[in-house]
Amino acid sequence: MNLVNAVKNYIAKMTEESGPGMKVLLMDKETTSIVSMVYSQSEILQREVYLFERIDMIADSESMKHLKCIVFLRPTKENISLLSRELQNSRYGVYYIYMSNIISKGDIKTLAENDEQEVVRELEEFFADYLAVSPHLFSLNIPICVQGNSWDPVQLQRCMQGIAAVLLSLKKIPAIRYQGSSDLVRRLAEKIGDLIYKESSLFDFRSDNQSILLILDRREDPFTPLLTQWTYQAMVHEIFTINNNRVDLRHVEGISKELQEVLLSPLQDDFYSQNMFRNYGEIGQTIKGLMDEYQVKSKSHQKLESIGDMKAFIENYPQFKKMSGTVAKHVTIVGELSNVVTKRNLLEVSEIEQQITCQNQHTQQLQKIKKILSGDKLRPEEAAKLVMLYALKYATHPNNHINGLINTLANDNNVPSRLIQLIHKVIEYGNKQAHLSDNFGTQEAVIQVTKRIFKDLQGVENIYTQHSPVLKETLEDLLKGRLKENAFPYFHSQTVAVPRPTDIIVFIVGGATYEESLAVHQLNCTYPHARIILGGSTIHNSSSFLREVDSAVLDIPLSGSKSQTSRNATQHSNKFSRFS
Amino acid sequence: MAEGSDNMREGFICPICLTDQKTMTKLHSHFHEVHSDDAQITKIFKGMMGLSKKIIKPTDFDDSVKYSPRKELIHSLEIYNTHQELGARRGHFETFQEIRNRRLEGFAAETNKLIIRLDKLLLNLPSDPNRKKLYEQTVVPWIDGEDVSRCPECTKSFHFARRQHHCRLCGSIMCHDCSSFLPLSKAKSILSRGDNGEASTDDVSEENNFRICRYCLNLLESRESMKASRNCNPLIAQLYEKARDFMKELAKDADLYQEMSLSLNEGKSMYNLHDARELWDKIIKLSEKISFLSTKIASMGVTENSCDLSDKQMKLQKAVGMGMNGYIQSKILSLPSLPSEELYAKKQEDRRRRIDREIRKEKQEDRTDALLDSQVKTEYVHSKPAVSKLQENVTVDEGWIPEVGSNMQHNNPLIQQMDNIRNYIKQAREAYKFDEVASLEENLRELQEEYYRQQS
Repeated sequence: MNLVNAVKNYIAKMTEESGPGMKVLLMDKETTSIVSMVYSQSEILQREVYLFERIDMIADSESMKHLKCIVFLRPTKENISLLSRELQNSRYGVYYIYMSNIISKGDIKTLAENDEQEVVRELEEFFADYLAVSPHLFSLNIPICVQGNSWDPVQLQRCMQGIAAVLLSLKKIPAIRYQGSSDLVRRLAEKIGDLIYKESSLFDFRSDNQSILLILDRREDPFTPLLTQWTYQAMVHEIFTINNNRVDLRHVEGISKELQEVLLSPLQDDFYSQNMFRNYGEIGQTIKGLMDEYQVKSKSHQKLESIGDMKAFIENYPQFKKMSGTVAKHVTIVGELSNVVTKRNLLEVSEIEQQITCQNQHTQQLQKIKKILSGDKLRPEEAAKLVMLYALKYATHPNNHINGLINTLANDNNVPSRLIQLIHKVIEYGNKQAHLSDNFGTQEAVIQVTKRIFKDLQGVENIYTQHSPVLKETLEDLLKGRLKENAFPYFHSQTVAVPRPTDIIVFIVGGATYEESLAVHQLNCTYPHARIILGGSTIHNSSSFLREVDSAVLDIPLSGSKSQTSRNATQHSNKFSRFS
Repeated sequence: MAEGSDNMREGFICPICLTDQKTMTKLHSHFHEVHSDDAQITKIFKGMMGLSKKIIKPTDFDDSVKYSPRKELIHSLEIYNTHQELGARRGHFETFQEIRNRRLEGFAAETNKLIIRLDKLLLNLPSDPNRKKLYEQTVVPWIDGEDVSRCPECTKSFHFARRQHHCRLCGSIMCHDCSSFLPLSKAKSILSRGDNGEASTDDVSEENNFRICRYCLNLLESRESMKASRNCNPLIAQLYEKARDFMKELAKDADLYQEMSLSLNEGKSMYNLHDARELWDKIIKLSEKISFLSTKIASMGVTENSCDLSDKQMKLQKAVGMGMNGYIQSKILSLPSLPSEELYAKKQEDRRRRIDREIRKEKQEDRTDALLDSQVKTEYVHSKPAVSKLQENVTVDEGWIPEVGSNMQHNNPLIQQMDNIRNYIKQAREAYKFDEVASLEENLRELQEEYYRQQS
């Protein structure tokens, strides 16, 4: 199961089916991201695709009848009407139309009736309807899918389509299991189950029946997205935000023009694919090793001690810069990461975060938090996150000091009221589960937590990376056939149980994280027969996660003013620029 | 794209030191001479070009850090590099076509009706406006305007200033503002009667135009544009077509060359060093032709101080040029160079010695076995006619077949066959089919052996 290749296969097929000749690729905003995640421009040029157009941004009416047009769109109402208009005033010689998901009979009719010039040569469903972030990770780029504790119906539909596309592109008909405590997740599981039943002619391939689709709710583990990250990919996402494999570095001081926006794709950047799962310390070492090697080559005797030295070295050797733009890029990123780590005191913060999530020493932890808050060295964001983690962990602790800490933040640390309110919301977000999970016994949950803590303490490698996400535990249980059916029931019409699945597709409603992606990758390496794929409505870092929490929890009585709408969050930047 | 910076350069630029080498030959030799020892750089470069999908091991970067095998696995995505078959797909084109055809049949009938009427109108059309009008009415019956009080297009009411007009093709009613005009010249060209649209289009007088409704105009125009797109073959498409043919040839030759140089570098004598040189020259010539075409396409319509192209056209031409240059580079820079005459001779000698050694060793180990083996071999040669092998080698898609020369008949069929093959070899060499040459020479050797065996 390789998601990147699954998407690449579809796109390669599109360019082949239209035969030889110059081609233009007509896409919408989402399919543009889908394609650009897996294909570089030079690769796609070799497939004779020379022009790229967005169907919602067609500016000219210049006709080029000598070009073949490959249309790759999501089957939305809007796209169908835009495409109908395009067909009526066809600018290209022939059209090969590929829809990224199931298209309705009505839409086929609309398109056929608008093809008066008989330019359409093909109409097919190709299920590349998700962003393949890496071979084992997909995202649907939905920044917020829950509004006030219930589904946004548009996003419910999009999640259903995305998961269906993953199953179809990998040719899997899995048994469906879901987090029993969550109503949201149950509805999604039902929708997918119904779809598989309704479209049985489409879901018609030999399946080994050893596959499981597991749908989880982010609210079961609100800790992971709040933690400071130390592996390369997760860290870059936490600190700079990775959007469609692109990182915006414009805010970095004195950044050169070509490094203002950099591409971090494991497919096109060998250094990145080798190091995305390594921790911060290792990366520094690897980069230093690389630089040393080049230094020897250029017979320079300059000593490289600090990241600052490395940066200076690079600037002094333009030759080197050209030779390996990749390395220059990573040195810049790592350099900037180290700046931020110092500026925000992340090592100290992270140590406390890890203790809160992995150990049960309330008094000591409270002292440490109080101490670091009194030190006045923290940004409000980090301070608030620490209190959030504390509050999530000790919400039911008899002697907890949540309100005291919140008061400290508001009065002494000048944390804005928006963040204070978010602390309340995060508690609410995490607690919603606690009420619901009473139904099937908290006893078990307690055992789970203690077991985890015990395990984590045994294998301490690094005080900053002790935490392991709940997902890892859940998946290990699933692989060993120990995942409890009352906590993770099968979708009701599924009668045949799959006790020991080999192929697992996990989807987290409310977003996955890169830490979890790494955990899944480690499981794939550890269990030779396991093939696990992780997906999420999006890939969160702490700030995007808090935006989603802000929208998911609306009813906090103590907050006077209604929080600002999450609309601005939905306008996540459009990255069409890649192909133009 | 990240690399799309302003100061983009094109041409035969060395990817490493960024010097312009002017020609492909120079670039290739420069690359091999200056950078060949720098394996690291080559690797990185190849990685960037997307040539080598192989993931560079971390040890390549840094020998000082050693990782245990399990950890090694964890730090790469290699475990996912398994074959992924094409996912599910579902076609709807048949349904689509059915709906489309049902609808288009109606249109086609209507358009045909219009064409027939237009034909009749143009036949014997009086030039006098009044008589023209009368004539038009005899061909197409006009709708009676009595009951029509508003223009069906814009729903404005008719009065003395907004008079009723009739479409000359379908007879329907509209106001002046909603009328379209079909120039007589255009009407003639629609019917392929030459006289291609020289009348000015602003002329809306009734004498030189047919007043028609928008509906009829649309039908005629879509017919015209379909006709036009069928015959559309601009210069860029022609050049592109040509370049594509060259590229196809280049790919084939490059594969063959790769094989030849590999074999030669091992000291094998299956191919001829001289042939490989010739093939290399041909590859260079081909790449120069492609690069000439790519420059031509990229710079079409651009002169030093003016550019009469649209943005889109420019973008297309640039992308095509870039794609072709990328293609040449990806094909040629990865090709190994050939050994020199002396080196080749030395390598051949080495190889011969090595094989001799091995044979001697084998013989000592098992004499009887070797004997048996050689018998089988001769029998094999004997039973398999050389001609059939030759025919196998000439496949249809290669498109090359040697002409059977008008050879004189020879008594011994073996000698005649050898003559034929010598002739084929000559032809194959002329056609740059060096893989054929190799297999033919193999044939020839077998035949010669057989011939000597018979003689002795």
